[in-house]
Amino acid sequence: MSHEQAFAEQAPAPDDQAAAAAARASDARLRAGAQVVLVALSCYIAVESLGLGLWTSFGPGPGFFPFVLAIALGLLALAWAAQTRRARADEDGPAERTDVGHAAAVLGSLVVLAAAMDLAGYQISVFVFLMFHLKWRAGRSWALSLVLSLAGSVGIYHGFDQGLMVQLPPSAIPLLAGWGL
Amino acid sequence: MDVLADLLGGLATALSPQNLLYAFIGCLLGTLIGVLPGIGPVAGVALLIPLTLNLDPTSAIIMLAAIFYGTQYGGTITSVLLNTPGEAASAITTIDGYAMTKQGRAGVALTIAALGSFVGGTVATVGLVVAAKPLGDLGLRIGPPEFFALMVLGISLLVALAGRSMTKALISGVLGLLISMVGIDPVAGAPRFTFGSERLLDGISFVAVIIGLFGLSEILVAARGGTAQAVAPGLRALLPGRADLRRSVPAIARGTGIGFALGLVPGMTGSVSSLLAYGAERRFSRHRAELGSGAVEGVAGPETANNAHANGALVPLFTLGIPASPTIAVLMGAFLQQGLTPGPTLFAEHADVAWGIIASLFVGNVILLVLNVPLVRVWTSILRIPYPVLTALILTFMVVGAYTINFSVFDVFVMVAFGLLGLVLRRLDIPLAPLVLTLVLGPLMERSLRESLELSQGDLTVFLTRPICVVLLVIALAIAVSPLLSRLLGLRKPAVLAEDPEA
Repeated sequence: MSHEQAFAEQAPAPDDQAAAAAARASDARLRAGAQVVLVALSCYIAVESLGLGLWTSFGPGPGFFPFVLAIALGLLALAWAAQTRRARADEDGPAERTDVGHAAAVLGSLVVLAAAMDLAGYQISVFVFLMFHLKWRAGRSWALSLVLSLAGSVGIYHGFDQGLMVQLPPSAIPLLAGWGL
Repeated sequence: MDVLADLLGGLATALSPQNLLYAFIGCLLGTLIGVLPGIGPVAGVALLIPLTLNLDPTSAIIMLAAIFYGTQYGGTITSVLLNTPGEAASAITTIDGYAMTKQGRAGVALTIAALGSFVGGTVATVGLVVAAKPLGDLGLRIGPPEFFALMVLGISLLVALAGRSMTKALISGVLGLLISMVGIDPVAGAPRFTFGSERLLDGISFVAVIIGLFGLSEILVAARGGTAQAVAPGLRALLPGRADLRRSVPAIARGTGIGFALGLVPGMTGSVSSLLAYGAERRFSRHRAELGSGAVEGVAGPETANNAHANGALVPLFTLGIPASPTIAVLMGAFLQQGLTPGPTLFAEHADVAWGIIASLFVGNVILLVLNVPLVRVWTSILRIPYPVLTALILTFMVVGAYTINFSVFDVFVMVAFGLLGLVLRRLDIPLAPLVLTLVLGPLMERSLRESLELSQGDLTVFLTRPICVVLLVIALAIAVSPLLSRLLGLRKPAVLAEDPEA
């Protein structure tokens, strides 16, 4: 292999370089944001702790521990910010990358499920949740999606109810509850 | 003889049909969790805690402990058959385990791993039995100041779980402590950081936090596709030859010693034990030249070590109340949910429960051996389920697990929020293990400190006038400053200790 060939294989393409630079900038923003949030959190907890009372005649009061921890959190966040400034960009990179679309779909569907569960009941809400993930996100066949969604909703509901004596939420709508949902 | 009588009493408890059933279910679920990608032992044990809340304490802990050591075996199956470790401690097994699979000797690798796991786990449990009595007697001399010192010692282990950055580990630890402060203050009864919500008066649900941080965030990190292509070995192929057994014996012996010894050291993880056991084989095995190309020693040594480690790590939990790893911290959380405080006082106040659980470890190791080798075909068929389908089903179980803690949708929202927090912490390379440790130990430490100071009427010298307390605090201080000493002496941390254990 010639020198030029080797270099051509090892050197990243301009598009890759731009993507890497964008990712580094995004990571830097995330780190800076996290450090600001931690300092703000430490200030809030310290102020709240003072209101709870730091010391009583028998020793530490309810606010003592949180106050000490808030101060520690603030100092650690500042130390982290100082370390980040000193470190080269590539030394403090993120540990794991995230597929934002995937994370948003999972989190969003869980929030909708949790919000709907008390009203629609476990069986209907989990059935819809599983259909969303199996049919629309994973692209499985209708038959497989229906069978697994029914097993995960109706099956688990009755399995927990009769096998483990654990009641999952029924629907708050009388008509649906009357149908055993 | 007292120990023998206690152990026999414990065996009678562990062998009752009900407890046998729970140990069996725990072993099955543990192996399943070990086999499944995307759900590690920490989230797995936490997920199943709600199902045990209605059980009596002995049965509940027997089942959860069985899940814990069952995961060790489950991880081996994917390491050997798929070249993908189901959990971190089995990573090194992939080298020779997968090479044996390519040679058509997967069955032998799995059987030897099961035998080694059985021997390692059983010997480590014998160690627990031997250590339990003397350390348990210590319980009679433990008051709030000593308990506080023990908790400080436990939290100082955060240093060992630090990963790459001590600052980030400390941030994680402080966040865990702050989360544990939410709710009614344990001494004065004042509500703290509840934002006027009645749901937060009892604190943030420990189980929902762990499921979110470890389980949900793992799923959020990345979408995975595809299906594993695992082929199950036939029953006849499972039987090792005489040469395999003869070659495995020294490796199993070395793995047992290394795993048990390191299991006793809080902060050491099963991955370190299995790596060192593999290193020992490279150095001492008569067949070391074959390592890396399908040598049975490369499976026997690490697999024995990680199971000996798992059972050995229960010694500090049972005898001192110190969780040696995040999974053990979750197990300790399960003890606390059942109204039991692991540590010296456990043997003084609930000796029957403690010995029942210890005896169940022997029973569980036998169940794993008898159950898992013939069931390899079942586990491999589970591996053929496409990952997106598994993800959807795992998410459903997470929702059920979070909901059934208090039968409240609020805990599902808590799980989702902590899943998001876990995702952010992973992106920022902040380790999760210290957070779990402090989340469990924080409330105990605060309560014992304040009880101590009430006893001494606010006099802080109470911690310096009691010998056990002083010794424990000195050890904690030594552990806490050890990274500084290492830096001064120019010692480098081994790469294996830089990873976030069990995350």
